[in-house]
Amino acid sequence: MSMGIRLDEKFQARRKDGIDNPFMRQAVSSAQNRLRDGRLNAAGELGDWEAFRDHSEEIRQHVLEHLDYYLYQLSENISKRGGNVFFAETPEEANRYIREVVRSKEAKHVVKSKSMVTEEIGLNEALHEEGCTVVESDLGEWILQLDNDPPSHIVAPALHKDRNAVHETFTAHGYFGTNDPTELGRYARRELRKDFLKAEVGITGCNFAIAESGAVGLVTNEGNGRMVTSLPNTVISVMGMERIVPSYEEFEVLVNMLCRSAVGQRLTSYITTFAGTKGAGEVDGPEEFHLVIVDNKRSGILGTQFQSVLQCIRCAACINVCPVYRHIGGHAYGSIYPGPIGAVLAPLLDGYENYKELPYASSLCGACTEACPVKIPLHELLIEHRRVIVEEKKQSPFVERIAMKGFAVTSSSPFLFEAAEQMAPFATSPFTKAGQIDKGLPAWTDSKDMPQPAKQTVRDWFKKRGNTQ
Amino acid sequence: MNPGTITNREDFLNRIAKQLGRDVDLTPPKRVYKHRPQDEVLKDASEEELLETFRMVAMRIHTDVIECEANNLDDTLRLLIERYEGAAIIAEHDDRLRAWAPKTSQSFDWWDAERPDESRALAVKADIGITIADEALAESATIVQYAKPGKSRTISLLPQDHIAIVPKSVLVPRMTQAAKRLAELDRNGELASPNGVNFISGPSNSADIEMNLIVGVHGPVRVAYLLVHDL
Repeated sequence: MSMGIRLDEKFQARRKDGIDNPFMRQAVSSAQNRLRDGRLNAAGELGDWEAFRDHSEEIRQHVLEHLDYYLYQLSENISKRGGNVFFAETPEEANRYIREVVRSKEAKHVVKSKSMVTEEIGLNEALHEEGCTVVESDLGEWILQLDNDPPSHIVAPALHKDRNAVHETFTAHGYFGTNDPTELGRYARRELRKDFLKAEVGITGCNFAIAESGAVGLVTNEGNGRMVTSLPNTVISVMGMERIVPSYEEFEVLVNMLCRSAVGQRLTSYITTFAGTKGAGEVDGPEEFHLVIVDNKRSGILGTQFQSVLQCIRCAACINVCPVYRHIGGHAYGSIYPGPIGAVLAPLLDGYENYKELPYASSLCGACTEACPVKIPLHELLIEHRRVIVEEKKQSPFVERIAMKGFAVTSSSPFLFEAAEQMAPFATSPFTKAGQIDKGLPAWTDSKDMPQPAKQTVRDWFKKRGNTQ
Repeated sequence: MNPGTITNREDFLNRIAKQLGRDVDLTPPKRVYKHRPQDEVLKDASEEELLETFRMVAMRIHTDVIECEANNLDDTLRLLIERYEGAAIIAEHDDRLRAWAPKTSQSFDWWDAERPDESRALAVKADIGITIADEALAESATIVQYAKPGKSRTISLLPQDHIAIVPKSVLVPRMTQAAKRLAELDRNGELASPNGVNFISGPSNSADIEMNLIVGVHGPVRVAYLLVHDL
């Protein structure tokens, strides 16, 4: 399904695809509204939301400052509880290890619960080479898997599909029902239940690992995370190296923030922790457990001006308030991490070459920063990306480089500035229709109106206005 | 239990420490936090207020709350099973429940870790799973189940419906109190916390199709909390 963090096509083409897709735009904006309102209600109910944000921020900062200690403690405790820990610097190392485990179990059926980091490392493709079936069991992820489509939102991955699209997908898979969401959901329940029961290996992501307890924590609503960790004999959890908390106490704080910020729930239906292998006298739970801790360029972010992005708890609150995401949708970002968090993270994980447009896909309105439950200064990090792109990488988008160069020369001279101001309505007239610029600035005018510059400049207007008084 | 393997740790931690501009430091850091708002939530709520919150939030998350006295538990359970029209029932092995085994005409089995395959098969087939909560959280109408010897992680998951018996005495304000208890079990490196903990708030659900709430996806479709005064 995914090819690691990067999707195909160029940003401009993807962006246009998004804008030209009215269902997607409608679905995205109504989902954004619901998720945002849910978050605001849930935040309001909690009382002193700002104190919770401050506390969450200090927990995340503390963990990052002592990440070596907490990863050491986590691995010691998982090992004591019978689990194996593999530290992977690269996606290739992680995939190779997981393939070896799957091979050693002679597994034919692997079932997964939702995990962004396994998307990031392209695990499914690696497992296909191992010759086993890999089933995504999150309802949204399963729909996308049947359709070979990438996720467009980190919490609601199939947000861009309507019920008819899902109906079509399921019908091709053997479904004979209506397009009623509950009926569609029951079909997924019946089908996936078979996969849960026959899988030899279960693979999960990790919302937060708990260092002091040697446990992995999952936040889910459907119950697939519980199935995947309770039924197969072998369980593998894959985590980004920063997804860790010191103890259950910090876990509780961040889980509360995650549930409220992501879906507006006080707690999701299931918060599940599991530690190592099952105990004596237990039937459910794995006989063999592996935790794979993935770096994949995260360590390179530590100690830099971008370190705070590693505070992220993947709640998508920033995505749900972003006016740019609202217009272009998740696929336009070309990364499995869309929205403001994606625009900050994707260039760091996969290089500026592939993502130099993303920091510009933002209005810098700051709504993301305000929504973030762990206080990542997202829009400031976007500005910092732009600075790096322009000053250090000399890679600013071509149009902006020319425009800014022109502006720098023109605005440095009052005479040239005034001349340019007066020229503007005439210079733009070939591109104009009914007072709106409709050519020459597609990135801007495809999605919004750009009025033609007024014939009278502000300074002229002010002068005349002064004269009449 | 045999300890597991740890691979590639040294290089990995060195890389992190280097980025942070120091050597790897394995002394336990002091956790000094300036804020602790979680203790303030529902701090002054009385027992009755906590119960009221639990009931109200349960309703919001599509969960039935039925209340009874301990000496009515068997009758109440029987009525609830009839209402859910469950034919096959599996219940958690628990001494408190053993004493109140409902006299129903349905097929009724106890989870038995000594017979793992049979127990698993019964749970897969069962219409109703009956469990008893280790803790309950008022704020989010959550029941807490510890994975323990003899207990099952799946009878609250595999059957179509789940009835959770909640002794009134296990109710705490919120997840803060439950987390604190769990953290204390591991504080001195004893690793005494359970091998797994499930915080369950109502039935399984999804909003993955057009943001429409589907109640009952992989886990139970219906959940009832049977609040007992007191078990």
